[in-house]
Amino acid sequence: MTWLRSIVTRISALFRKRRLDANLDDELRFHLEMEEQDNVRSGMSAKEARRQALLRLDGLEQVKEEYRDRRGIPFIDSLLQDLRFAFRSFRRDPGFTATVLVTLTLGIGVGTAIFAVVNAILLQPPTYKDPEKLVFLGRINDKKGVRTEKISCGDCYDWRDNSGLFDSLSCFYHDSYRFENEIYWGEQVDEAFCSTIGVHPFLGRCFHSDDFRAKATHDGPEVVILQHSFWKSLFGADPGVVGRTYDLAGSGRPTTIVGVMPPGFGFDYRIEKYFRPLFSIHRAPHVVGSHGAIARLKAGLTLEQAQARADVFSQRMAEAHPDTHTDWRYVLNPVSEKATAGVRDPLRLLLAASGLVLVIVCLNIAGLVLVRSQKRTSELAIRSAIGAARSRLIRQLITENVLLSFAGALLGLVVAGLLTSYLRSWVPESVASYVLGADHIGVDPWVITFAIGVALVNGILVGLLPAFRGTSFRLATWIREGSTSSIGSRMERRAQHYLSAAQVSMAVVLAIGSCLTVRSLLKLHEQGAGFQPSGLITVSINALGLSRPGWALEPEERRRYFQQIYGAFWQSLRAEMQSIPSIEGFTFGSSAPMAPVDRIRTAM
Amino acid sequence: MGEAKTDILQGTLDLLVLKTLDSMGSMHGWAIAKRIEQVSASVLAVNQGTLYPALLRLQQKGWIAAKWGTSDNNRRAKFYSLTKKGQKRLAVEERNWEQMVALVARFLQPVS
Repeated sequence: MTWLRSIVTRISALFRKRRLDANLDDELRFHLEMEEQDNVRSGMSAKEARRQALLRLDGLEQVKEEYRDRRGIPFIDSLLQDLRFAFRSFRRDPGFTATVLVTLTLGIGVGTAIFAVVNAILLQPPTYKDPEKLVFLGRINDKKGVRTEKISCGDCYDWRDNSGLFDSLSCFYHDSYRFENEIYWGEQVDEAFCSTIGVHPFLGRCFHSDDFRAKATHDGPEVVILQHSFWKSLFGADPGVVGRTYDLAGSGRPTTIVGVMPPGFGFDYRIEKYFRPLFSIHRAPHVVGSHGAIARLKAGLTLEQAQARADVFSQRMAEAHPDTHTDWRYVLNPVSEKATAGVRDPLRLLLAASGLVLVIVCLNIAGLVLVRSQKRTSELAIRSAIGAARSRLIRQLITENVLLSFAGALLGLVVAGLLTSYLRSWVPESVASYVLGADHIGVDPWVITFAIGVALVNGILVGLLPAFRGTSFRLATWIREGSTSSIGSRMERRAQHYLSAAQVSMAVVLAIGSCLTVRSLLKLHEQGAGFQPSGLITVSINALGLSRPGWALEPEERRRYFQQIYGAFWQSLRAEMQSIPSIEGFTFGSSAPMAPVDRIRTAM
Repeated sequence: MGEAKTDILQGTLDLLVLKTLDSMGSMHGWAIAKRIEQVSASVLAVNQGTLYPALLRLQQKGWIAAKWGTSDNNRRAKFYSLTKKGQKRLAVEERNWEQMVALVARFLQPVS
């Protein structure tokens, strides 16, 4: 327990330093006076009495020092002393300080901003449980050169039940729904959805089998699970809406909100706003490639093993359904790769570039510090002469540098904050919806840790060289020859040369790299879209409402009904369009050129 | 060897200070130094400089307590006194000392 008390007194001593020092001075002064008086009483002269008293109290300053050492925490004491000294010396040298601060701010600001982007997009895992085990099912037709993630519903269940590769598989279907006169995109999902991805609504519940049965028979209200951001914008994040029924679609069919997904959750990285139970009518086997599937690999199965087995299974499917499945082979796309596929390489490049920038900043500052340390040789020599240990001097120099680096990092974080908020607002919605995390780019704890880490490394490394060089003089030589020994300055000049050379070479690399990148971008832009975009209008049409009466029919009849209904609709539309004189021509298809794939039903 | 010597000296000084405070009651630093000198008949010329760090150490260990007061000649001085813990410690130290003295004496006695 005594060590605890001793630690407490030592820490409190840090704060009451001045008072305690005054007390000690008083006590020692009292002691001296008493001793003096005693000496006078035994017959010494006043002067002799004083001298003898001082002699008895053998080394007053050292006594005080030993007392202080015992009283406080010497390491922190000296650290605080170093910091105060550093402040003063920086204030005296504003040119140096300002230059270093500006360099650090820019370098750390840019580097941290890039890191924030990389952090938000590449390093934060998607919000699923064990995302490394999750894959999206896709297929490739090598003959036609087509690659898609749309498979048929029958495929879904084939893979789930017969392939033996997955612990669970969930089938889904992109669809749209009307909420309050606006049409939103969302997903229809099956019962296994929540359990496969391992994410459950944070309010309410996931779908269970009753919901699906009710859907098939159109009994009761529709059920829906909302995405967090959608819930915020529609209902202002009111938790009371869960469980309530609304007539949202305006179709007279009430909708019950059964759950809300947790914030930050994104599925398939689209801008889906809600989840609904999968329509049973869509379970038409092996026909149209309209569904998607996400599956969790069996434990112990690596991606390569699974893909190999999947290839075998693809063969079997092709043999079993020759008219629909020949030339198609199925692939397993890991969830995490899909999220970042397009941006991964550019981001890595950016990260490398910003790393180079940071290194240049480091070298630059090292050069400045080296020059400054030359000016301080005399000061360091004197301190060394009084008895400062070399390690103490080095510690002081490094502390100075770290202090400066921290100040620069702080300012750099401010710059990074500005940059990231600008980046966040600048990323277009279509890109943000594909790249999960793009809306989370910002200064979060990881980013701050990064900035502090960079500052620390910078401070220590940058301080190391000048510290060692600056304290390795021979005292006698210095005193004899004056403040600068010629050998020392030659070595310093050589160090400066190396530093400059390294900086210039890296800067050249960066400059060339960015020029090439810009040129590629320009070339891409020149290439154009392959069509004339001026005067072209794209319209997206959702004609789902037409199909409603057809739900009640049997599958075969239903298909014929849809063909008939939709066919009639497009014909009439075409006729109307042709009659408008200002339209030169039109066409329709399931997606517009250069649009995010499969979002737009029709383009004209 | 040097380390052990300081330990013994430290320990001895502690014992002397504690005993002094025990017999004389509350005293200030200078008085303690003078008293030790007196009792040892100036054989032990305590380096007065080591006294104050030692007093601080004893305070930190909780064996003595300090209080500011006024001396005989109306000066402000810091007075030290023995705490209960210190009294207990003193008893332990005295016992240890006597044991050690007896042990060494046994060794130094001519073999009988």
